[in-house]
Amino acid sequence: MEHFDCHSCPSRIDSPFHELSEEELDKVENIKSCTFFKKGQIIFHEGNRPGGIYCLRKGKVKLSRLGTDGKEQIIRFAKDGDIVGYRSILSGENLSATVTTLEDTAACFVPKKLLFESIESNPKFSLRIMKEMSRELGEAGKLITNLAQKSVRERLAEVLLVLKLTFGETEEGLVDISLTREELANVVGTATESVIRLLSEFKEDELIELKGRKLRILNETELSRIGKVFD
Amino acid sequence: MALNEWKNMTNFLEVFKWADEEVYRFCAELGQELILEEGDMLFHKDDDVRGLYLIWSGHLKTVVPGPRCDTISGIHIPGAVLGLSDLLGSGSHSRQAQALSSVKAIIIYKSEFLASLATNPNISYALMRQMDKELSELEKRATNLIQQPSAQRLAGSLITLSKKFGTDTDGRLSVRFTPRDLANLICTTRTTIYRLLRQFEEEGLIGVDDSGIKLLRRDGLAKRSGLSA
Repeated sequence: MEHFDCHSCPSRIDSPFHELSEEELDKVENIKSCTFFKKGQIIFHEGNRPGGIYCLRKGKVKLSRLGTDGKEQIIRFAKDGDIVGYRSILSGENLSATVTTLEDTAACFVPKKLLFESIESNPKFSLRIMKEMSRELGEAGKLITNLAQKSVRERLAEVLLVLKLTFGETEEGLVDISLTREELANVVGTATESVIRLLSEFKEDELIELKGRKLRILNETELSRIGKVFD
Repeated sequence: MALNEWKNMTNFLEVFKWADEEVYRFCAELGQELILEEGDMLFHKDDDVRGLYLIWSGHLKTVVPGPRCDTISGIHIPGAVLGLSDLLGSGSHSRQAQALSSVKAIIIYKSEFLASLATNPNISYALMRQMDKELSELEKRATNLIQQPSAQRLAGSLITLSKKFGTDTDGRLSVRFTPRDLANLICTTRTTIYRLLRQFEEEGLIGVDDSGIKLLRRDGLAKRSGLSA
């Protein structure tokens, strides 16, 4: 397996490891191992106890958990520069979500011992991790509020805008994430049939254009209005 | 305004079970006392975050107001920490916090808190564990909200509330929740709550009177919710 150099990693600027000094980074460089995951591969299983974290060098993953009836609920996405598995390491609890790649993904495994050492020795690094958790808390709180206060149509409109904001666009102007209709339904929290129906309504209203599993947002202002996205 | 109980480390660690000696010293040195009466607001949505709040006694609810209905994002008991994610995030409160009873709290002002994080990695650890716990609860709740019907969510909430706040010898919840609170907690309408409470009462699972909700058959409620009694 190819070894990726942390010092020249283009995704480091978006990662908590950006806060480490050159010396601390050398330490990570010597201990970490790099792995390539094929699309659809599981990186972590919900309920397991990981021995370290993965820092995503390039790729996209979904974090999902199973409901009591075994149905998947996607709770978050992660992309280049994001770390996954760290909450379980810090809390000493089992993993609360399964991490699955949405496309071919290159990631670096950092053992938990090094994560703890970095938190202890570098306050900037630990503050960055806490900020990451704060962001996740904000997202989880917003998800609950949206589920309670917004209709499925409103939630889907918002999710499409959030996907564009999170993953950006390809050169062709398509939102740079490939999700099945079922996965989209599992993000919004509704049935696949509802997502299919609403997407074709959005398409008829010329708000979006569908290209297989990808889509182009044509009228962001109107989608924001439908999704009641004010900030 | 005497709130000296928390100046004793043993008492402090009994309430804040997630904390350690270092967190205690940090609070004893920097914390200031706050007292609220039932109905008082600890903070409003969109207020600037003044600091970190540690709940010493009493109960609070955090609420996200909405145009159609409010959503209770959490019900907090002694030992809870409020304000941390907004302090580290946007800097303004994403929800409001209101006392459900008399509340005693400790506030650590923002600048002092952030300065302390730089020198105390153990405080960061302890708070990260707390944040993880809160995140796990929220994620579980979101999944339940999507995947469970309202009867199952209400049964689960009654079990969870009884575990969190306790019940008297008759099985009555020690905190009185209005139908509006329950509706905002499980994200449904008050009409649905009235209907479900009546249904649970007819099935002999609960008793409802002016002084609150009594859990009569926890095993039955647990079966309805998919939780353990």
